Amino acid sequence: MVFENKNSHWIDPYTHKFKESFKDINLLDKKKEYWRFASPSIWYDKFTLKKFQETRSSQSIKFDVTNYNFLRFNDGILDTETLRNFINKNKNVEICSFESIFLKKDHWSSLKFCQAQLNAEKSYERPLALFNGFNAKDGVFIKFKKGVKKDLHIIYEGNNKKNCCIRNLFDFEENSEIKVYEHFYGNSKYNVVSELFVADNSKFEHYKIINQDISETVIYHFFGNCKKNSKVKTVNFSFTDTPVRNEINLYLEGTNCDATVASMGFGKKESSICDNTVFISHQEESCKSRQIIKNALKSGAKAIFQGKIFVASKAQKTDGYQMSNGLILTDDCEFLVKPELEIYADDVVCSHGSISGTLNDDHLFYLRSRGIPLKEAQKKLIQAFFSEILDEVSDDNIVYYIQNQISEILTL
Amino acid sequence: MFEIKDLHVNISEVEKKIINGINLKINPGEVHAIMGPNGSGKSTLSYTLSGKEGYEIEKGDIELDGESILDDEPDERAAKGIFLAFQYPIEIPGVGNLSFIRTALNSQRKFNGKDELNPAEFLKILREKADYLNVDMEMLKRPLNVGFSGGEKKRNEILQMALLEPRFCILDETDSGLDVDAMKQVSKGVNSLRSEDRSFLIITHYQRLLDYIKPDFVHIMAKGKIIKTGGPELALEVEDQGYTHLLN
Ligand SMILES: Nc1ncnc2c1ncn2[C@@H]1O[C@H](COP(=O)(O)OP(=O)(O)O)[C@@H](O)[C@H]1O
Ligand SMILES: [Mg+2]
Repeated sequence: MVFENKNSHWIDPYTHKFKESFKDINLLDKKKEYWRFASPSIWYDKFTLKKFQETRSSQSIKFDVTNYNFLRFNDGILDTETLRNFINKNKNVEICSFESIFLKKDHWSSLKFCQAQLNAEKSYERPLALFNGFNAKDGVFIKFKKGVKKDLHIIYEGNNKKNCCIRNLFDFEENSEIKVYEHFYGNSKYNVVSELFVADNSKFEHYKIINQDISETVIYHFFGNCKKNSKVKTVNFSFTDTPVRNEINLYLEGTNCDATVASMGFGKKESSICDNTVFISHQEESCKSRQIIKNALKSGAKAIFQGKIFVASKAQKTDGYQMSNGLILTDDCEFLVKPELEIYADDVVCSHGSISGTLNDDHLFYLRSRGIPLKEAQKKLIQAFFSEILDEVSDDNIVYYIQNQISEILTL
Repeated sequence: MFEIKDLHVNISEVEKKIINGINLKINPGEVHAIMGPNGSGKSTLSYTLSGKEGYEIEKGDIELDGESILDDEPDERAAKGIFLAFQYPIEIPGVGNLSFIRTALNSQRKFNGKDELNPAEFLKILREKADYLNVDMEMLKRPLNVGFSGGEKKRNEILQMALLEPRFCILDETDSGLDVDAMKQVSKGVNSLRSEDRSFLIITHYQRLLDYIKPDFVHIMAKGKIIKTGGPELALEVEDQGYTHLLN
């Protein structure tokens, strides 16, 4: 393992701490906060077991990144050629692989590393992020300099059935505007931690697509520290038949932050779990946060949403919103929801709601009364159910891509 | 020809009998009006004709050109040319108006063995009809009926009717909630669609719509039955004296 070859590096104390904290955790504890609907062992056991799925679902059509900046991981290992290309093409960006951090005595990331994760640990224990902390083998550490505007696609693919533990760090200096798209394909297992540090007046959009052909578990932790006037949006798309857990912690530590968390999940098999566990921590005044979660479920699929808006006593004029919707297409499906508000300030507007149901009969009849056959009408309404999430996407190519993914699932 | 034969309908959910034996024969080109007090079963009849679930036909038949359509799904009935302009057109968030109408038109064309229209061909036809009916194209880019005013919703119904070119049009209280100008516009749309091979069943509560759309026959419906049939003068009589004298 990478860590063990190097003597005393600034990262070691963190690694050690992760390892020690992880040891103390009982992964089978069924009462564990935020793990009651789905046990951490789902992700831990499956991840650590050597066993892999034999059968693979259909190969997804991949998003065409030719005209974009992109980095590629092959079964969890960063393709250094894509890294070199990226470096050659992009000024005002500092980037290196996680592995190469160990070759450097000092690195800009040493001041940030783990800080967002530690903030997240304050809210509750995150065993699989701890596990990542002492098992990560690769990842990218990127600093976008002041005022940079950029799009970057990160592709995780590969068909060699590997256990991929990946650790990323994104650092955005003031006034930067960055969009990162992450695409997951193939038959490897994933445990990813991404930390982000968003400086004043920066805008960050993050899109993550767990494609249909992912045949193993994915757990993704997204830990963000957001400074004043920053704007962060993270949108998750989950189309796989496997368990996916998306843990998000956004720590709004400056005034006037604007945070959006959105997720679209389409589960179509009993083996499918789409779990969004979201924690938004309002630490300062006048921040806004929105959580919009939509899951369409059929044939025994399950979805989970645990969403919390935390408002510290200092965080007056907080505007928090949370909405989750389940579209239950067959009655053997479950959408388990745990919305929470924890508020210590008095001048606050927070609202939350959760609505689940089947397709609306009156809507179906209206469409059919115009000549649209039942299947087609159902398709239209399912697409409509997700439209609010697609409205969050600013790149039309991604919108088309997602729409096609949904249609593809609907024609299965 | 459209024919309703001794129709008896139950609303399954509440096991309540609403339609109690209706007979009606509508020839191509004819305009029939149905008037009647609230709750007499007019909307129930219109839903039954278009095949909505939950309306159980206890007895009787509905025929198009001598063939029963009772086994046809709502979309099949639509493709065969039956159109219902809803009393309360619903809002469907997330479904774009344009793509909805195009899907509807192409589904019907496919059913009838015709080529589907591509987006350009469709837009051309749509623009023409929208222009004529005074429907704002911008409005059509929005989700289906979402945020439309009452009048806009009704005009959108007529626009769909104009595009789908049905053979048998049912208008359920299309005039309700419209001011005089809006009603004139809607009537203009309907009148422009009148033709030898298209027939109409116009359900209304008020006589005033019939000033603009002249019916050939007027039927008075009460308690799920047609209790009187006449010409346009019957509508005037109702306007004058109300329904009470007819009900006794
Ligand atoms: N879905 C329903 N469930 C229960 N009762 C209904 C339903 N729809 C209609 N009705 C009843 O059937 C009767 C006829 O209603 P409707 O057809 O809407 O009348 P109209 O259109 O003539 O005003 C009314 O008494 C109404 O309350
Ligand atoms: Mg009615």
